[in-house]
Amino acid sequence: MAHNSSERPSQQRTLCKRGKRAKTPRAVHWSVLYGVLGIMLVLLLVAGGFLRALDHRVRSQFEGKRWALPARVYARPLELFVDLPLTLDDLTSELTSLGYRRPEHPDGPGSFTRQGDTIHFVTRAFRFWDGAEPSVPVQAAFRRSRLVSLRHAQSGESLPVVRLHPPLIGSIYPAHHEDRMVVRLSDVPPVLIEALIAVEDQRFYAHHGVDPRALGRALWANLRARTAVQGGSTLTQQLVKNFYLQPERLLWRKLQEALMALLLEWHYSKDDILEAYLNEIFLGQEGKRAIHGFGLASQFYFGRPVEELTLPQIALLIGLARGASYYNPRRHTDRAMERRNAVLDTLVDRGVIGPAEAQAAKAEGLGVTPEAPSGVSPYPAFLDLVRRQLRRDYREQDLTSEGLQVFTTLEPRVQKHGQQILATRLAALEKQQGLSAGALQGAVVVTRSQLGEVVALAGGRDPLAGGFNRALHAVRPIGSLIKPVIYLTALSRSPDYTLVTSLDDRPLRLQSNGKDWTPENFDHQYHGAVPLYRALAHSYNLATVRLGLALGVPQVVETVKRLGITRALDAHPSTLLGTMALPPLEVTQMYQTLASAGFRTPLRAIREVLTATGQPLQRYSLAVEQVAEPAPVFLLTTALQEAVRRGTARVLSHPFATSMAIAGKTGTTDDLRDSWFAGFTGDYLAVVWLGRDNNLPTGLTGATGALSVWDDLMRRISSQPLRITPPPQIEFVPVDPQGRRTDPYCPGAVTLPFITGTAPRVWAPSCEYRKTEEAEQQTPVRGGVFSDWFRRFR
Amino acid sequence: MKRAMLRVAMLGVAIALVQLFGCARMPEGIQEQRPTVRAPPRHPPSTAEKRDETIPGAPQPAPQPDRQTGEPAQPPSAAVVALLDTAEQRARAGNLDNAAAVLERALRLEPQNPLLWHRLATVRLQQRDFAQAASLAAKSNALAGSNRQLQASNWDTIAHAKEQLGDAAAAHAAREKARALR
Repeated sequence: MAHNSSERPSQQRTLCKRGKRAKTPRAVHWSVLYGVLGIMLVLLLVAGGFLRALDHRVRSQFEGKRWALPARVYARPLELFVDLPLTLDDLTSELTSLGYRRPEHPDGPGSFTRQGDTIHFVTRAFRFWDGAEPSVPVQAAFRRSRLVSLRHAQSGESLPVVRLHPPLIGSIYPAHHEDRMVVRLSDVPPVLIEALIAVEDQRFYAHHGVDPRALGRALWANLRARTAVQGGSTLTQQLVKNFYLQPERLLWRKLQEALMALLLEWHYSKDDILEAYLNEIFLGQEGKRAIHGFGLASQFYFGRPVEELTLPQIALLIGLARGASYYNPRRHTDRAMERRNAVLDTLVDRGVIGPAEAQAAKAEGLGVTPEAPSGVSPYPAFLDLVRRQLRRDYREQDLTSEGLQVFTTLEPRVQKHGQQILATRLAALEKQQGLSAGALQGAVVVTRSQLGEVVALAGGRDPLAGGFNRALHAVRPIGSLIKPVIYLTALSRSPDYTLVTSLDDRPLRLQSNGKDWTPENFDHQYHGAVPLYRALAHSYNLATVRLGLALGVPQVVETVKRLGITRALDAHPSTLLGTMALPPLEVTQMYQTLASAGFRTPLRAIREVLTATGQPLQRYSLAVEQVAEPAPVFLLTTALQEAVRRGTARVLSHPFATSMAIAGKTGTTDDLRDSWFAGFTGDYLAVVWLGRDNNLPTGLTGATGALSVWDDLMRRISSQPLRITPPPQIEFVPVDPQGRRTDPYCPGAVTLPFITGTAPRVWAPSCEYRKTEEAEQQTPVRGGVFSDWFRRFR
Repeated sequence: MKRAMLRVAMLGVAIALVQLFGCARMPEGIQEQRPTVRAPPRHPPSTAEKRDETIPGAPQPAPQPDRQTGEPAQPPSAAVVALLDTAEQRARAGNLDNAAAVLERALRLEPQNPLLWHRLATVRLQQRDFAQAASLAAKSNALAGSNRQLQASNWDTIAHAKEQLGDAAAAHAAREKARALR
């Protein structure tokens, strides 16, 4: 062909010449030879191209990302230390949910035994953001709902802190729902590898991808049986089939499979191929989710990592490789048992195990957990929040394919109580209010009060329903939950306002948002002059509106923003009575700042993100910003404690509430459409909202509705009383009910905190005999105590 | 050599923890019929140290225990001591991010422990995250009660941070507060 190009100018002629030549026998011979050579060359080129393409495909897919791995979302790891409020049963249920087994004696990582009030367990190694946690044998003792001793089970040395591995609470799946947990060859028990090779491909280490002997044997067996009874595929071929090809039984596919197997073996080591096989093989199905690989199958069937599998469990999984649905051990126990035992027999035949071992293994049950661990998170509402925070920093595609490990702040115990209490309380409240079942809805957000970590979030009464997440998206008027913001604005203006500044609670008429507005108190009464702390504790509307107007509505809205609300807000006088609408999560942000002494901490649901292999990727660190002075926040908190003791939330005045020194505020909106409570103890802050999706009245106030949910929940989860260290500029001064300085033993005296120098200087008459001289040297300075001063001279 | 340094550091941690006993915890909220008016006892002014020359983030002399305050606080837990120690080691190895992560772990166990907030502030200072250093030190102060030495250290941290942030007036004010507390 090459010579043609030189004769291009006379192509016609050349063809003629050729035509002439073709007539001679010698010419015929040459042309045939050329033709055959040409065809062969073309074929070779095509085959070469095909092989090159195959080769490229084999390599690029094998070396590139082999699998799209869903992101794994974990709850907080449980940290054990002496004095932790925790019962032995709490720990047992945590260990059980982590898939720890309970044998006669602890037998390696992931096992525990109990004796009296002592527990022995061996932790599993785990890689955290701040370092690897090795496996440790632990002995822990409990007394009166507390962990009292924590020791190394062998050396007896005391352990300051033990961190368990975190519970998996969900995954972010790719569209095809293929799920796997990738294992490394070194993590897999050697007997699993030996058994797999013995059963599936005895000559794995001897062949080059295709095993002609096995093929021949299979062909012979199939011919004799006149049907396909034996495969004869090597592990490499099986991997190729699963990894690259569609499951078709065409001869052409077989050829392609063999070629690719050869190429794979040409490029990669036996170990690489084996590791890929271990992770690729299909071993089960749960709904839409396909279970691939021994790592996930081990969790899926036995609730434990692959390192901890026993011989009979290994035999069962290997048996499943031939047909995971047919031998499904949860559905077809007998078939699965038969298959497992057949595998064990094969292992004896091929010298992997001894007959006695096989006999012992056969005596064991299947050991499969009754329920398949769900691929669907039990806490979808919390996961909404996690996803929302992840989407700010990651592409959806990376979340579903990179196998990221996401460490969240969820405390499963708090979450479970939150969901369960919300559901039962709502049902009871519906009955009590004569509402139809399902009419009421609610949301709960719980955080660690100092750190801003969201530990639980319920977005509705049915935790698994998904859909509308009220904690994040139900934007509702917050009612009196706005009041602490107004009072903080006032108390920040020291010395103009103190806890005993007299406020005026009398009728009021004004314009708000272009309309006439005559706010009323909830009890439709007027209380005249009331000290500031009591106006807040009893949630007096008129005193509060007057106070807010004196401070300026825009100034109050400014405080709302500083406390952490970023959405656009209106500033009308009616804002002072809580017409401002916020979702529960944002209310939580606002109260978070109050609960942590005026330091705003952005609410966080995620602590850290690691790559699939455990490399640190990102940490969402604790950040604080001081947005209010600690002293006024301290005063405000005192008034909020008073609200719980003697104010609108006094139904909480049972021994638990009193001993926990709870600070909180009720919120109720017009016609009883929304019922709110926001409050905190020393360890947790919780915000509860109850209402109806159609926004009709509920018949509930903050105290009769949301507070009851809050109370039930806090009693179960909270163990730290609210004890705030007073800022340095705070002093405590006893005052009488009118807000005058008095002696602490005088009847009705209460001791209140004041910013140094702002305490009332006027003495109450009943005790003045002790202090006359001192009092006369001082003059009253603040309007709030003028009336008291005046009364002194009555 | 390394071991000796470690011992010194551990001693520092131990001293710092001992002073936690000195943190006053006031009774919560409104108390009825209880005489609680009391001014924090004043220390005799200690010999002033030349704080101005301290390099940001350099280990600061551990504050002395405050023995004059009234109420005993809970003793520091072994867990927190261990985590503080780990954090010190990581910080000394130059792994400041990791030290911060360990301090946050400790804070989850004792969120009201002012020393932990203080240490986190100094780690942020070393990381040149001056805004956070100042905020965290202020947070520590809000929890420090009558622990004057810790308060002074926090004001030092704030002074360094403000200086780096270019706020000379705030830095000066913070330094004055630190001086007044010593």
